[in-house]
Amino acid sequence: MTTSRRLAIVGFVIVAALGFLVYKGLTSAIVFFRTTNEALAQRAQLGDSVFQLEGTVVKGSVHRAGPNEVRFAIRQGGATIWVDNAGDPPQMFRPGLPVVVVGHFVGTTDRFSSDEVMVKHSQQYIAAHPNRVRASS
Amino acid sequence: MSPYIEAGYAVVLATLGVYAASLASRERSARRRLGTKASPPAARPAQLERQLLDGAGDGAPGADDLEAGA
Amino acid sequence: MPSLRSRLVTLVGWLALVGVIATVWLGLFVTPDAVGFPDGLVRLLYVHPPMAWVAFVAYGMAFLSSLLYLWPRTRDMRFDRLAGASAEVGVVFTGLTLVTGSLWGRPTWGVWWTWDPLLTTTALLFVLYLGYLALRRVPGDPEAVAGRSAIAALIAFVDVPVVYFSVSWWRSLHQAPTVDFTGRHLYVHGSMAWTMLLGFVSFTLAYAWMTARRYRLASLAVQQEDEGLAHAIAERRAEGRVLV
Repeated sequence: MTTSRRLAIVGFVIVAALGFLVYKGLTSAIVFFRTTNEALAQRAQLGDSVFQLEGTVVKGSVHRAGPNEVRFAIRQGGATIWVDNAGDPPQMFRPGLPVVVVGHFVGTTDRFSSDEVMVKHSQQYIAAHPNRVRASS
Repeated sequence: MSPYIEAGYAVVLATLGVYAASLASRERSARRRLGTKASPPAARPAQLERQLLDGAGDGAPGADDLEAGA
Repeated sequence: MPSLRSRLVTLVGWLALVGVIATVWLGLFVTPDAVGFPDGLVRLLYVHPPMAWVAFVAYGMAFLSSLLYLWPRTRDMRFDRLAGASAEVGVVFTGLTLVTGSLWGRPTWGVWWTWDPLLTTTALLFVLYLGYLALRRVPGDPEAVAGRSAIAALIAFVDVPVVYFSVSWWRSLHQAPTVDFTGRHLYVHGSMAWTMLLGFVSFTLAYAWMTARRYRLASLAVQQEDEGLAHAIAERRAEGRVLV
């Protein structure tokens, strides 16, 4: 293969990748999620479309709703939405932490059905045992 | 320890190690082709100039003539 | 007797190696776990942010050398070579930023990847500079290649501040930077902070060593071309094919 043809292929792949990333940036990344109160305010327009919803997991709300389903409430801006998640949430999931769930409202209700939970955490890291020199593995 | 964390460290060390080794080996083979052990790159322009000047000195061609001849 | 410059590069290389080994040892075995991060899940903190930082430094250096190349009074092919060398090392570190981020995201966030603004603009950064490296290989007159590469490096650099500030400009899954350069705040303390700092310094030294070696390789390639040219002149002269 000649150098110019190889470069043309590389150029095409790179331009295609750039186009794809700009498209993703303009569609998914700019509005990465809706907060709980925003989603309830836009409830009618949202219908049963799939979107990402953010809120803080309410303490004491997490319980198992089925063999492969976990139910919990999330809160943000004074609004609460109950979420049914298919599958187990990630290891870091715990009440009090903000999460982003991917899914849709069920029928015409304010219940949310999700199949993915993403756990947000802050940029702050606090040593669990500041006085211990060596951490156990 | 989480295997994801161990994998993260392994990927970083392996990638940087391979890249560093490739830089070193490419430099070695470049020097071998040049036939000079440690001729500093800074000496390059002077060296070329000398060769071109030598050529001009005994009535040999400059760079423009080379293109016509090659 | 090696030149002072090559001895300095060797010294930087050894310091980088020792620093990286120390970072790995402190990061994996000595520093404490963090609250809310079981299984040592906090420990990529000493590796992942330095990867992103080095990528920024590398692209900053490519930006600066490209600017110096384009500036009429400093137009010199050495700046072009430095820009190319730095950007190549930057691409290696951007790739590592994406891979370590993905490996960290899976157990902490719960996903390998998501189209969050920070992740999307970082992927864009990776592809932009891959494009820059590809552009450098498009054949042509060396001055013309250097000129268009320098302009491309200036354009691609626009994405660097976008990546850094994406977390504050848009909603994202990724947390704000732990090392806040604008607010001058470090969101980590004690041995964790020192280990993180050591990671930043060590990987930056590794970047310096790699860029110096990559630059030298580019200089050797130019030298080789010139010798080939000189050799060709001598050959033609010997053959008597070039007539004056």
